[in-house]
Amino acid sequence: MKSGYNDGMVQDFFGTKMYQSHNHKNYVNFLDEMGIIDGSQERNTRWLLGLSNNPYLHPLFSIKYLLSKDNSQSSVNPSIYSEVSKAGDVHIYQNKYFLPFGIPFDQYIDYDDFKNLPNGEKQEPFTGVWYWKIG
Amino acid sequence: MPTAQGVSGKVSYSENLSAVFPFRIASPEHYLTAFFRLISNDALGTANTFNGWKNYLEAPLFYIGLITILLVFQFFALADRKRKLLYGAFLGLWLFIIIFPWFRFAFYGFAGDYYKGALSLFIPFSFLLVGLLGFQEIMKGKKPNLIVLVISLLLMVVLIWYPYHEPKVTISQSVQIRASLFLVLYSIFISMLSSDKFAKIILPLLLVTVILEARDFSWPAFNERVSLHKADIRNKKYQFDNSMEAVDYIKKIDQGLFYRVDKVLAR
Repeated sequence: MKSGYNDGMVQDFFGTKMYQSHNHKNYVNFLDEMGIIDGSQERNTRWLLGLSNNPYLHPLFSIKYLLSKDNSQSSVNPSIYSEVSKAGDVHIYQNKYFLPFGIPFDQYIDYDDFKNLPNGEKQEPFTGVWYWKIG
Repeated sequence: MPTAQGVSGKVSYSENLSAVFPFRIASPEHYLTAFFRLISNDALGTANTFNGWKNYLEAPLFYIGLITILLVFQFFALADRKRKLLYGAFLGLWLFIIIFPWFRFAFYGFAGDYYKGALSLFIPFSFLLVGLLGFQEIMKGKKPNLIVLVISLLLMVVLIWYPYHEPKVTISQSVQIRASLFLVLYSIFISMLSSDKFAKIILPLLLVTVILEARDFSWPAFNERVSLHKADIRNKKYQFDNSMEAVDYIKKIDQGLFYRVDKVLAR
């Protein structure tokens, strides 16, 4: 059974995972082209997994907080997130590289070049958006 | 506040659906599901236990009372030729859409491969309309066609009990038994409507049987579906877990205009 897809709607926060009959096509295309979902399967365009398993994209999507439980701690990347608090069995993490909504870019990659990248490397150009923060 | 990109839009799947050959037929489980969901909403299981084409909500849902099926046959046996052609074409249009999925995709604007509200409303009510017209023919004084009645009963019983051997479809034996019994009962009542002597007794009996069937066949849909209980909130089940407090905490410490929260919770 699928669960938690519309937690954002129920708990009143902005998330990335959601179920809808018709999700926005640009968001679906993005997830598809990044290799996060297989967009050729119609059900995957309704049950959108979002970005919880792709932490390197979190800064780009202004994901500032991540929630996990003891049994899902391994899914939290400690190089990106640091724990700020706990509510019962839920750990609250804050993104060290949070980027606000609406940021300028001074570099870009052509769509064709991006398309030719192997699936495993497609997220790399996007890490450059926040990686400078480390230095 | 909505989540993520909560607005509607076209998904690429529509191109796949429109590219299907218009006269390609559907899978056997689709047709079996369409037939058995004419017999009962729960003929292939209820809610999460549903085992047929698609799921409990998106599978075809044509059930609108078993007597309707027999009365549709009676309409085509008793009505005049012009009306038979008119209503035959009307029902034939729906049948066409069921047989050739491309036309169903087109009906839903190539949005998805499902039935949902519209067709699962229009088709059974069209069926009911023709069934009621058949009943009207009898009420106007025409004798029910007993040969057609027996043939339609046998056809339905054979289709209900035929061993289909389709692993993707699980037919409820309980529904098979009850549907067969109701069909036999209705056939007896309809056949007795031809006798003026019994008509006054049969009509109330028919009404009582229809009510009993409606109650019996709608029971699982109302009472055997998993629903949220108040205790689930108290016991912090599903989305009412401690992440509720965690989100409240985040909102308290961070009143920024826009940021996202994500979860890697294993429930």
